[in-house]
Amino acid sequence: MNWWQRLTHRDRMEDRLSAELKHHFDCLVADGIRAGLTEPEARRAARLEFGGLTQVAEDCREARGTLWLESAGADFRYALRTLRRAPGFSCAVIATLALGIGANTAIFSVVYAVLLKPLPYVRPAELVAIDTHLREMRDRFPSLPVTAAAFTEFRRSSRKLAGIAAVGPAGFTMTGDGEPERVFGARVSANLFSMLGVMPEHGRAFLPEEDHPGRDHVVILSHDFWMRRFAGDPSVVGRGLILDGARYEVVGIMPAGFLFPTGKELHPLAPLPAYDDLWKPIAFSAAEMRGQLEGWDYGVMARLAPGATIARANQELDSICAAISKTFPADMRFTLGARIKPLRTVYSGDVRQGLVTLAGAVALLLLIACVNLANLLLARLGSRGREFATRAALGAPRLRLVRQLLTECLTIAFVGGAAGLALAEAGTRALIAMAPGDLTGVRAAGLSAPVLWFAALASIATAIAFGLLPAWQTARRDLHENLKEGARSATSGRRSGRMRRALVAVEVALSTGLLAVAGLLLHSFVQVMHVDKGFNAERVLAADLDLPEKRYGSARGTALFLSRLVDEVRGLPSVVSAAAVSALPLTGDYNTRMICLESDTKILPDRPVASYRVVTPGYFGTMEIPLLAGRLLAAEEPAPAALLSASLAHKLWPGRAPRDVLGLRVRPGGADVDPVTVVGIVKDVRGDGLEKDPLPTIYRPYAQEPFESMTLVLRTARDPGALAPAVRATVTKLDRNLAMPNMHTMRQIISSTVARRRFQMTLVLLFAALALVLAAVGIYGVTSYAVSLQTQEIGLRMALGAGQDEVIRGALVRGMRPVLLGIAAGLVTACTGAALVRSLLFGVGALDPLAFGGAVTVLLSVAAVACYVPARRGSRLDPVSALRAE
Amino acid sequence: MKPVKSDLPQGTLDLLILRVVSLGPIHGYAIAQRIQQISRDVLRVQQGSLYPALHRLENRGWLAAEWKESETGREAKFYRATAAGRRQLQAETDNWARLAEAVGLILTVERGAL
Repeated sequence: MNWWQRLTHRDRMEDRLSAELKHHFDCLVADGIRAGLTEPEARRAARLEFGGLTQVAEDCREARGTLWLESAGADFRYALRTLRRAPGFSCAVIATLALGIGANTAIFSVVYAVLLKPLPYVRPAELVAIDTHLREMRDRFPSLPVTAAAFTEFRRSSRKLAGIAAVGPAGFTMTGDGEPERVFGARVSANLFSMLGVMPEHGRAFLPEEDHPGRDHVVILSHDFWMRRFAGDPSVVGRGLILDGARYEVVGIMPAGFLFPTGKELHPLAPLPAYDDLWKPIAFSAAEMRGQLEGWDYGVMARLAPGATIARANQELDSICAAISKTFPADMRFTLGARIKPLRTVYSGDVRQGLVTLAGAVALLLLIACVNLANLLLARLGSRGREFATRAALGAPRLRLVRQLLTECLTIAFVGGAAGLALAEAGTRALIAMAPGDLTGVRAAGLSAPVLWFAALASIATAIAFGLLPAWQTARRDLHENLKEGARSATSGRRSGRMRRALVAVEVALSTGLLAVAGLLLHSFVQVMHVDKGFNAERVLAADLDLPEKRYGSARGTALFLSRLVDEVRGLPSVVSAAAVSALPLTGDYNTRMICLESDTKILPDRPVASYRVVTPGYFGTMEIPLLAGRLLAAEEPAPAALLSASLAHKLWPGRAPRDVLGLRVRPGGADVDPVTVVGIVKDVRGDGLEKDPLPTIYRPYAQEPFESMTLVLRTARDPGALAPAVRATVTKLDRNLAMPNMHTMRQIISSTVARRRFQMTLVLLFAALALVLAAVGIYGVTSYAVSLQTQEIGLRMALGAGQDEVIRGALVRGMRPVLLGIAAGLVTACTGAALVRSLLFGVGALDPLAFGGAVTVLLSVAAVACYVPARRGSRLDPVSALRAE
Repeated sequence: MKPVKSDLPQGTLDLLILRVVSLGPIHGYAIAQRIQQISRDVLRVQQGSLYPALHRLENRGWLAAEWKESETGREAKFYRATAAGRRQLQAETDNWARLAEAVGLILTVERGAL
């Protein structure tokens, strides 16, 4: 028989082995009888000579070399039986493990999708993103998008880049068949798709000559838009679309799942739409090409040439930039610089720190689960001591027992891991659902092969981690002691009790760290939400409007339309006031201008940069932004006028009171721009999220400078969301062909700006809560075990007159000692954790007393309850029966 | 007449078994008998050593086994030496002879001979 047959025909082989040994035995008996013994005598003699038959058989099995495999199978079956026999223990263990593995796998699937998974492009490691900066302005603009001129020069001169493509946002109103619709997408260099290595599934990519103005009336549709608008009809390729009144030919359709940067991913100052309906060639206009120090509008992607490194390519770009800087006008001697980073970071962006924190928190949870499992296993080992002693007495080698224990752990890990995977599947879906919208890549999270590997490895590592300690104890312990009467309460029990208390201390220490970090994030979140926004966000509805000048004949016509619309919605029931603004607070603002003084004759690098917004009358009243000095903008301003935010006034004229700058004039956008008069100073509002300092802002009257895209704001007396249908109806009434506005309440906008922070905090809090539950279970288990060991002692002390209180106090003191120790050690863990998440904190110190105090208080109270319950049970014992207990 | 269990140098039992089996197909009990007989009762192989050794040798491919009727009319497992087993026996025998000669030389050396 070969080894395989021996494994597969185990029963037959066992039969043969015993037949062989039996034959030998029978021969011995026969010889005895031949020598003159009676049959019983002969049998007895044979048995004596033969020795332990099972021992011989076991040695034979071992000699075959496949014993370890066979016994692993046996151990596995035995482990399953053992687990079935103690359902309570098994459920606790498997649930704990499933929780740990499940949570870790779910988080890993997100980490993998966002940070580790290769981008869905050809040779993604070669792809990079490029941004620029002006050395003199780096304090205010650490990073700028690329100008058309600089991009073109990069493309012309670089040898280290095999391909380079620029990307800018695009939005059109599509008319023709069906309702007019706003469609979004991007202008891209014609070579973008071939550079990324992703080609259209139908039709073709752009041709090089389509990258020139006049030949650029072609579009490629996204798969989603094609399905939604054209029901996946391939014949749409070659057809024409009417976009902003011009005809564009559809030349291709991108495949589903084509990854393209959205939002601020490629560059925060060159935001792209949140989704893409279509792409068109970028075809820089002559005007775009002329701007040397303006038009920082394009995100740039590139592919490194074979053999080129980022460092080398950076050097090359630096020298190209130096050459470009020499061509700047003499009165604007700025130094251009460029920086290359892997394209991967564009998609993972600044979420790395947050995700690493989450991964750390969830790993800590698994560690706590491990400690808890080791504890449970130790407790169980205590009650199985006699089983092991008996098996040792029957000849099982110690190593064999240790192996048996580890097999049991692996079995638990296997079952727990499988349950964990089920949990992870659900967890991943929940994570995708609750992830903030700007966390691209999360949507692709799922149980892929690497994630499954991770779960398997985590399970095995866990099994070894929590099984090693009990196994080591078994190997070390004098097993025979367990067979002696009363050994349970003697040394072995005490030793494992000590071990278990140590484990509780470790568990508490880890939980303290996790709770403190969760506390820090929670406190930061509260701080963020309580930040002074500078306006009142309650009961405000915002509607984004797109008002192309062409539609209303002239700028004046557009302004008339908007003012009619504002007047109409102001008359809607429950609307308190209404106005329009070019960009809402908190939504991020990319229309920024350098503000020069009236006396400036050229751009000075140290002039402040401000957000530029145009407003209709009533905006400040509607948003409840306080006026600090001067007056608000009137409907008809006689001369070019502006309001400044307090911080902008301070930057322009440091040391002057707001009142003293009224009537002064500034040039927004450059020294050659006509000056505007400051008529009032208003309070600063948070412009780019709650966590960033307010942007200095300049407000101009809409009537003097109409914008094509405006946001209608309404303050309402009741729930603002309920007003949306009425606003839509009003828009349709005034212009049937205007694309339907996107509507949000200000609260929704605030909620989405803190989405990422809330996501992070919720998860860490969840993990901390789970850790707390595990710690409580651990403490409870150890204390009840200690009380059960001391049943006799308690009985004796109560018989001698000790009161219930004394008994409870004793148990509490013993139970809380490891907890206190753990908390002390945990504060050190917490400090480390706090240092690691420092960059995620807002408005709280890394050693925030509230978070740390809170963590300690919560742990202490939970631990006290977990100790008190078993202590009280112990004190309720009837002294007589307690004394009689074993 | 002492029973031999671990007193035999490591590997010696294997050599004895190989030698006995190489004489012709034989079952376990008979192997023990034969060793005892040939050694004039000096070497007694215990079952506890014999069978694990047999299984080990079979596992290494030096012995092959088949079940057939024994002289008493019962089914028994008969071992025979494979070609590899015979080669091994030869090698081990040479080895043993060299070792025995060397040990003999040392034991018979006279005082002052070196």
